[in-house]
Amino acid sequence: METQIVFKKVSIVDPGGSFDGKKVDVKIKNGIVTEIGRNLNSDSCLILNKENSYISPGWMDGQAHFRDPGNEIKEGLDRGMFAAAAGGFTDVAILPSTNPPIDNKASVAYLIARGEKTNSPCEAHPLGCISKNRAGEQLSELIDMADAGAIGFTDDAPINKVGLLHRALEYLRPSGDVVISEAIDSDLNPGAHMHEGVTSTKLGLIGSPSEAETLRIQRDIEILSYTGGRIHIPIVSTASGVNLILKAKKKGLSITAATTPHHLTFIDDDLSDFDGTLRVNPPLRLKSDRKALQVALQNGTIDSVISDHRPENIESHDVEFILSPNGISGIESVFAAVNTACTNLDLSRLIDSISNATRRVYNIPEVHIEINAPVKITWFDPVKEFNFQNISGGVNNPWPNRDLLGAVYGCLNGTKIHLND
Amino acid sequence: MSELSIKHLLGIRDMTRDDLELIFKTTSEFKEVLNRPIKKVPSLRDLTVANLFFENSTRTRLSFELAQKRLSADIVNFSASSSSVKKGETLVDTVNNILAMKVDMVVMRHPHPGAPHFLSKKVKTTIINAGDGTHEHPTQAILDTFSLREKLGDDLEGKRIAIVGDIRHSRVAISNILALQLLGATVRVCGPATLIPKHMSDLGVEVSHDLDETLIWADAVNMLRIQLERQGGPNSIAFFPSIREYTIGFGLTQQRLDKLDKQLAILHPGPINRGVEISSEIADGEHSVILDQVENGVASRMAVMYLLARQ
Repeated sequence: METQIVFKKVSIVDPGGSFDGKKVDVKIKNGIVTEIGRNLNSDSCLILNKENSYISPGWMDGQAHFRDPGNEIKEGLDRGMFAAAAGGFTDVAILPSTNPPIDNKASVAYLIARGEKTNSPCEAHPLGCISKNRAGEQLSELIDMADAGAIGFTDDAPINKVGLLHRALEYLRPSGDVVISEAIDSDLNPGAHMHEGVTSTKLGLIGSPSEAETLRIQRDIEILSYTGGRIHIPIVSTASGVNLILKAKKKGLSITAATTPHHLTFIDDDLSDFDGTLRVNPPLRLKSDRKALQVALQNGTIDSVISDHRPENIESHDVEFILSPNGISGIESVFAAVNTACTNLDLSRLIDSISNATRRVYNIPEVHIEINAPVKITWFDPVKEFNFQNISGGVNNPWPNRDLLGAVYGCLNGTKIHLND
Repeated sequence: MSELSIKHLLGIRDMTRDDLELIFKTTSEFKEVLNRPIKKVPSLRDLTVANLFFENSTRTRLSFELAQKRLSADIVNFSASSSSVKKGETLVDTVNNILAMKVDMVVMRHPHPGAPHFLSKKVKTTIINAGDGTHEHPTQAILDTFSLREKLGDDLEGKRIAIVGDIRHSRVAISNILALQLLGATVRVCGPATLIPKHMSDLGVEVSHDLDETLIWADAVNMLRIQLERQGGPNSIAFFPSIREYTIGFGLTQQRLDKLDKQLAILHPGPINRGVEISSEIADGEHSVILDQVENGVASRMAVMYLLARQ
């Protein structure tokens, strides 16, 4: 690979950075940004030049599953990190619900080491389990995992015991590490397959009401006011959930929230044909909820958008609706899906929500495009239409063969580079 | 009109009023056949039908089988308890294996809502849904509405039909609601609040928790079985406290009927929990349509298979 790279005439989207909004050339040498300006000399450089293209700080996905270790047949770290880079991500937070689960520092170290070995410019940031063996009973060695590189804590399941949430928040308060609490009370209509509404009634499926989400968010806010610490709701799916989070933020509580491209795109009625691809948890809600999520993303009540990438292979996915596992695969389509669904969303807010806003959730340093800064850059075009095709091993992606708006050309992280095409 | 608008019978949801009228007309013709000394016609000779029952059934399976025999179809029967499903084979593999033996039509009962819809996208054969979990049971709705027309007259427009009991776990309820609405009837569901889905009224039906008042309102009642097998696991919280209390509130007894100054047509899709949702004297009484339903079940299933086979 050439040691010098030049982006020609790219528009920089970097909210909070010195060059935000500028259309310039950007020169990179040995993984460091060396020059930013007009008409830079590009002799003996690898030239990255696409008309009307953009660059931004490298994107970060707040929650993805690569089924590694334990179920590599569905994806594995190599393919997952490749798909992540294809989606423009230079960083990805990896869910710990593997087999065995990531509940100790050795497992955290494994994921980081394996991530570095892939050729992808995407960096793996493990999330650790809150509880030992993901059993939801006793705290795992949280600080030890944080020291080894875990950036946040989740059992990738609702925290059903108030006592466990209480202890985790209190224990992590001094370090500032975030506790991720899934907002689903599955005791309200156990075994639910989708949102409870007229569609679930017609389909004869068990529905989970919006209250299953708000009950948990209310509880979490109460505990958070009591303990202090930091809590993150990984997927908000309802308008009422958004309202609760907004109120808590106004009170000054350290609560953050995210949602997914699919919750911003689809609604419960889209399941009318028993399409197992759209079976997710929390479920797809109503049109009014989707609208509220889009507004909350624009105004920042929802901080971040995550892929919640959960790839399935054809054997596990191509089955009857209620046997189909929850979750959508789609780390490679996050930007295009959100950009297509949210027509009124500012580009800089969208980029922030999939980059530095996610870093703020996890309390890790923001990235900006500055001279002498290490390179973490994503290269894209928000107005380019394209027909999406799968890159991940996950077949449970609802976007293939749809026309989406917003192409990713590639990303750079240090001296590693990924270019699509 | 002489053709159905559908290729499969997956649910009443996909059907038109014309489809139902055509099936009723054909059912009447086959019912006449069933009352002849020779009850068999050659209509489906050369056609092979597979009855795939992934969930237990006695009357629906017998009814379909008899309908197939009356139409001179060849039949293969399959039930999940004696099959490769237990060895871990997928639904699509199981069905494709059977289809490879040159089967023309599949009648399927399955515990999962949407299973026949899923299958219809995967295999090239006509599929008839004989009940998919808690979703639909279209042939039951067809035979129920046919039986109601016999009792109340061909035009069900404005007729008041109550469906009573375990609405939440009933595929019969959803299919009946959709069919009755297509035919212009007014539908009410009645039962304990926990056994009626919260959003039921959004389907355009009335909701009541008072059986006596509902009996006064109705022209006919369809008494559904309490689905004891679908009330959740041993650790889940039950939908109602006891059979005794359920029967006090929602059991159809002679005492209740005696208070009315009119006759009601009484339906039940079976199997009956005698003394629970309906007392024996009513089930066996003169206003009970229950055995007519069984007879009409064979004729209407003949009609459905005959019409779909012609597509």
